[in-house]
Amino acid sequence: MRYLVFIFLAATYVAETSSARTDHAEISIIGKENLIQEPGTYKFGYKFTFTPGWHTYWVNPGDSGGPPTFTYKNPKGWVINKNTWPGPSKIEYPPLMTYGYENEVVFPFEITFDNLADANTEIDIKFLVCDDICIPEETTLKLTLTKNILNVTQKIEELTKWEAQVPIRAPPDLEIRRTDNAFTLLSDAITENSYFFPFDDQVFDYSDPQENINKALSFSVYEDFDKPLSGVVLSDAYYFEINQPTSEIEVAAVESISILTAILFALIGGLILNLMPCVLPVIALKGLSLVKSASDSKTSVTINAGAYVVGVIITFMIIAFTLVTLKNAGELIGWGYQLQSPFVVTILAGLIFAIGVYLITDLNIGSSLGKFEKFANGSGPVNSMMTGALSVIVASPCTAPFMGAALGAALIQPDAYSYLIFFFLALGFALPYFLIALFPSLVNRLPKPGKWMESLKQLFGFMMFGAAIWLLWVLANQVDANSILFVLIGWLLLAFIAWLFIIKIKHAILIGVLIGCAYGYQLFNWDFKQQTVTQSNDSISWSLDLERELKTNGDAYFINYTAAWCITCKVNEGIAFTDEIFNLFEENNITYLKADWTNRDPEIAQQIEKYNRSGIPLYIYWSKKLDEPMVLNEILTESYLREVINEN
Amino acid sequence: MKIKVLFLMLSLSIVSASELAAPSFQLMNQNGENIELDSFKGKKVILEWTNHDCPFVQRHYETSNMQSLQEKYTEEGVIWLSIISSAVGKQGYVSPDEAIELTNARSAKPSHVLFDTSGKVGKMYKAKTTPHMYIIDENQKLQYQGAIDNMGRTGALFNTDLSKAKNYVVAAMNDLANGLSVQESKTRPYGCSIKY
Repeated sequence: MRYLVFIFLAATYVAETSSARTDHAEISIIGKENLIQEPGTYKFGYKFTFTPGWHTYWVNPGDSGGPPTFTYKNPKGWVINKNTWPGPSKIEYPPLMTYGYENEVVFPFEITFDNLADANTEIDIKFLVCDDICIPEETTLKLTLTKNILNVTQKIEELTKWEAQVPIRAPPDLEIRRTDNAFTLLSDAITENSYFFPFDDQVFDYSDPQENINKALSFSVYEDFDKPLSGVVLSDAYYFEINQPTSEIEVAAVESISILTAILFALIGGLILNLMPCVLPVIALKGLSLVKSASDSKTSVTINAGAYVVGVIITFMIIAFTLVTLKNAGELIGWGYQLQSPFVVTILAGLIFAIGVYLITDLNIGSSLGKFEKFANGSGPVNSMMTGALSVIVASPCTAPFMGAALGAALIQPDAYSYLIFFFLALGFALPYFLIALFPSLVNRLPKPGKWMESLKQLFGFMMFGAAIWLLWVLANQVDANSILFVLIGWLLLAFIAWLFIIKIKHAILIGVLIGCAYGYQLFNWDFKQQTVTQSNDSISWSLDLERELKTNGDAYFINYTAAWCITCKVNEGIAFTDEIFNLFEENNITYLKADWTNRDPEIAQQIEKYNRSGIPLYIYWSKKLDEPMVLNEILTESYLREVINEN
Repeated sequence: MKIKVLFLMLSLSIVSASELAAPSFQLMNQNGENIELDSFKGKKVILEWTNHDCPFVQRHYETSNMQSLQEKYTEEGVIWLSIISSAVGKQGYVSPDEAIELTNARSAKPSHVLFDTSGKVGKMYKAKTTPHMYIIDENQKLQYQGAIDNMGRTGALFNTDLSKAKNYVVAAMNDLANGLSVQESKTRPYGCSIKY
């Protein structure tokens, strides 16, 4: 019934649609629906109908003309996203070649409604409409939300048709070849009518012909054209977008660190990792067992410490091998990527929580768990090796924020270098024990065993809980509340099983295994629902199109590549992004874009790789004064940001 | 030492040979006089392709951007030629009298307004848009060709403030005045297509 009322209202409000007429065009906003019943993102389009034979331009207009501009302010609770650009047609006026849309066009865009209160906004539209001659026209459309009805015209088919014209990702078989001043694009998707429309201005003479033979599209470019090729290619009735990878092209302002520096960073970084809250307890545990074994023969200490070192190195090399293999297979990954999988985060959080429980209870005294005790506390070389492996796995969430630069360098280098850097990272990580292995007498310098060991262990347990809470928070940014509940139930069960062992109940192991299996089965089948990302009003979510458009229009922008699991990012955001900085952004007309990498996103990964990084934080600033986007320091301060913005 | 000098001279000659000679032309001006490019040898010449109905051109005249350049450089002894390549009946085409009227109405200060109704000169210079600017030096070499400034695409039309633009003509003229070679000697012109 309520729905019927809405429909009725919708019908009455249609009369007041957002449309306008200028001398040579009729402009309106069309939508897939005009009933905004719940918060979310809805699709719309700016529709232009020109006097027959007249046209307007694509984002790159070619030899003359220029694209339309849309200016607006977001009402409270709305985010109006920038429009996308459907692929253009060639409009030839020899000797000129222009790119645009004849007779009609719809520029699709989206609005995210967080708030459904009545609101309105005005959209200023300026555009050039041309046949032989060009006339600049402008109009203002009023967009009004009244009682859940948005005053747009409902035109599903038309909007869908133009959305299909917006360029899609390039086909996987696309090959881009450059020989001197000529490019050749090879793909099955190259059709007879294929044509390359560049995004950039200084690529080639637009009126030069493009050769299209047998699934290969060739065209010559300016001699001094040295940027990655980017643009769209017409393929039958649709368009795909080309963004040449920049790996072989230098990105200005990025200092790629030399291999020696990278190795040094890796070594130091590895050493620092030992102090991470999620690592220190595990490593200290090993340390404590070494203290106990101080009385043992020196050879036994060497063997134990050495085995630990070997365990660490093997595990790191397995990780390196996986990363390099994935990289060579063309997967775009970055360090920290492992935390993009809710499943992995759940397991790691559970593992860390379990270690925490183990540390604060006197489980290790319980005889029923003798084997487990031996594993962590014990002294056999195999156990030492396993501890090494365990500490690397537990350390992995903590490496992301600190190892970004070194690992970034590692993955972009040739494979041999990648392994070398990972090897030194491992060596740094294992360095304390490496030294003990070399000089077993060092153990004698450690304090004598005693009750302090027990207290210290318990203290470490709390550190593990801290790390587990952090991981849970990461997870909370990725999945819905039910999944968090599910994970916490897992923790409860873990604690319960631990308690079973402490009270030394009969068949504790059997009960533990049963509970573990039941829960494990659920976990494997659990559907981690991704949380819908809600946008805060002060930032616009990043997209490549948007960035490109801002740059084309000469509008300054600041991109914050961030993720919930990136601690450094959060620290930077807390310290450096003050209200004053946001005011400064506003004063200087700098668009603040947020690229959220909490969940997997190949487009973001590609960008990060472009800047020779494999991880975040990554901050990019561009203004007209800069030739190329500037890559900022990984550690931000308010004064540094202020300096960057004021000077550029 | 001698070899060094020889090498220097050689490289200088290569540099000057690589500079394009400006194609010579003669066109009628607003007073019916024949104007020859060759007669301006020893002076700098600026060519401005124009069309008074083109919104991009209008924008540069409404903001007095073009007039102030014309005034500045003609006072320095530079010859400023505004060339109209619009064919008879096409947008931008004007009669000599209308041209004089337009010049007065807009307080424009070109040395001459030239009529290229056949489009021959425009095509010879590969002029594409209005405005499209060229700088010719004292030796009749082409030193700059391209846009008037970096407000390309719709920037010049829809941006409220043109003063932030980098004017390529001014930059090139400054380079030449300082005895330097022009840093940006070729840019992509923007504006309306020339109505040949």
